[in-house]
Amino acid sequence: METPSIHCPECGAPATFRGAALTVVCEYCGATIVRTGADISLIGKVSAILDNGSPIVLGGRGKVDGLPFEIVGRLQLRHLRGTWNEWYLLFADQRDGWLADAQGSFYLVRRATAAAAKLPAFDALALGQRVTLGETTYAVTERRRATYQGAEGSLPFEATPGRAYASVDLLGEDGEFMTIDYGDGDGARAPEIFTGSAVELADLAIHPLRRFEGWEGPGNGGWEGPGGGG
Amino acid sequence: MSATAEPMQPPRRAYREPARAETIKCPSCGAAITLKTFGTSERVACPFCGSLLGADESGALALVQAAARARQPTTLPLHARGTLDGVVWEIIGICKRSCRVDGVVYPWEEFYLYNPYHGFRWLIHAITDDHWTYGGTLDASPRVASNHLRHRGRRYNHFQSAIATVDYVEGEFTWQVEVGDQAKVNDYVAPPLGISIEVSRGPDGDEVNRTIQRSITPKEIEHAFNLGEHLPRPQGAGMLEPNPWRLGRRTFAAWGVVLLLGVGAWGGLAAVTPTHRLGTIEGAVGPVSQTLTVTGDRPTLVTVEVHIPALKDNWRYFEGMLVDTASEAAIGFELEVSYYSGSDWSEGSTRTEVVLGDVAPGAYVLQLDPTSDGPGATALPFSVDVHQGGVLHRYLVSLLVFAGLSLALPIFFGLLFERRRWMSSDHPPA
Repeated sequence: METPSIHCPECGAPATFRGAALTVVCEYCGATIVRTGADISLIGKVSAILDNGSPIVLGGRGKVDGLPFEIVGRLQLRHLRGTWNEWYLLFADQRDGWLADAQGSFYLVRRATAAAAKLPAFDALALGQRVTLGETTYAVTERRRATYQGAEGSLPFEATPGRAYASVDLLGEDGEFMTIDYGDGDGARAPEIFTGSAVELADLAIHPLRRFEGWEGPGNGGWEGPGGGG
Repeated sequence: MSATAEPMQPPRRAYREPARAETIKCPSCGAAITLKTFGTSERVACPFCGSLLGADESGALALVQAAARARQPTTLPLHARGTLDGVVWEIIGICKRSCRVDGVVYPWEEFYLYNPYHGFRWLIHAITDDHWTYGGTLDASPRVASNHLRHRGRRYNHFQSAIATVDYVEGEFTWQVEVGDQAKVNDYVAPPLGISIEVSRGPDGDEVNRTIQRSITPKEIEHAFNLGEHLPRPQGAGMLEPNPWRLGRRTFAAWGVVLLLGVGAWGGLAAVTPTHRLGTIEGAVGPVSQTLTVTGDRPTLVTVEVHIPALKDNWRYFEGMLVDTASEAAIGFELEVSYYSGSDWSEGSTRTEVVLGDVAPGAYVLQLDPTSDGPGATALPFSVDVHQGGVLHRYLVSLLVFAGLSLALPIFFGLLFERRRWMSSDHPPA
């Protein structure tokens, strides 16, 4: 899957499309480069990632259930309540996944293997509505139309500025998490389902993490509910 | 592909350098506001004047709403740090909220805790009764039944519903908080845990926020924040306060079992001793017995039984002493024999016994004086049997009562505590 390095059409620096990436943001000049088949094209210098306090940095490595992954990209999105990050992960088994990072909460998802039942349209889902996938029943907790804020590293789609992202987050009764990605929300493409769960950053053993002035590293003390440590 | 001729700039090492706290100037009152969440917050409320700042499209903070309120005292100060569950937390936002039930306002304080690697938690202080809870986001959507919900095998019973109103804010928040914001709060309890479900009006319909909390003592908070004995002690039974009588239930039950076993063992050794006859006094005469020898190597029981075979519808009262012939120490006792009967009833007995405890081995004489009696009873002959050993019923009974109470009282007080807890709920006990 790994594509040999290309050179940034803007500044000539080496850039690598990681995994099935279709977009890479040049780490030297910030230009967004998109590939279509064998062709690459330059979108321009558009990435404007905001520092929203994420402890994660591009290039960090971690593990989920013993399976190593590398953080190879970030898509930063903006909606009515602010920004959040979707970190693109490449696992050692060549599959990919996403680590969503919003105001100190983390959700790890991978593309659902369960056959997608007929999903309600984006506009037909209401907050609190129950949706069953396989054996699990989820409740809609968030429904949002977000816009592209910025990107870095490799991303598996054409991460072009101005693009809209319609998605719905759902939570199961025991912490199962699901995101339904509706693309730009106009119903042109079939929704894609990603499933996973809420995670503690400490459980992913990511290294390196960002350092924060006045704070020690993450340490232990994971959150296992309010009775966890007390 | 050709490499550029210009020397390449090093890659932007964004986010490799430590993130730094920044200080801004309140656009409304000019006070310096230190920002502690490295860009995570969506909303900053100036601690000094209450003006609200929000991040704009470029991430810069801009005035959303000017205010000129006075700063209010809070039980814990903004930017204090404490260690809970092994993680250091900093208070980065404080929110005072209240609800109104039957015309009475119940205020509380919410302290928003932050750690850059662990996210956010809450400490909540009920101002009315000084009970505290500690919790965070619940990443699950338990199905809610009419009066309870279930989460991870636990049943949480509905405690109360209220409309919570934001009265005061200072510091940083990850949502767009505003004074006057209202949310419908439903509290479900499984002490010491509780789940709160808040529904508020969001930009996209009803927004649901779920939190899971546990009861936390002021002592734990004082310890966490290094405060000394500074916080007021809680009053009454808190919503999530663990029932001390239920917590102690096992201890009390263990005590009961120990006592019962103790009674059994002690009874076997002391209260119930093998019986053998020491002597008999026959007839109505002879206030002093022959010598009675109590054997063994430790103090034991001596049973004195008076039998008046001809007693009917009458009574006799005796005063007695068991006198140690060597030391002349005496163990005194009283004894009444009474017996009444009709065609289909009877009361009392022609025999009465008294058990004397703690009788050391040695030689004794028994002195027994019939001091008073009913009409004509003086003439009735009696016999006295003296046994070594016997059963000390009063000891056994009192110990059994004690053991029983040690089991029953915690249950009683536990129920009383639950009653007090639920008195302040939407479902007060009748």
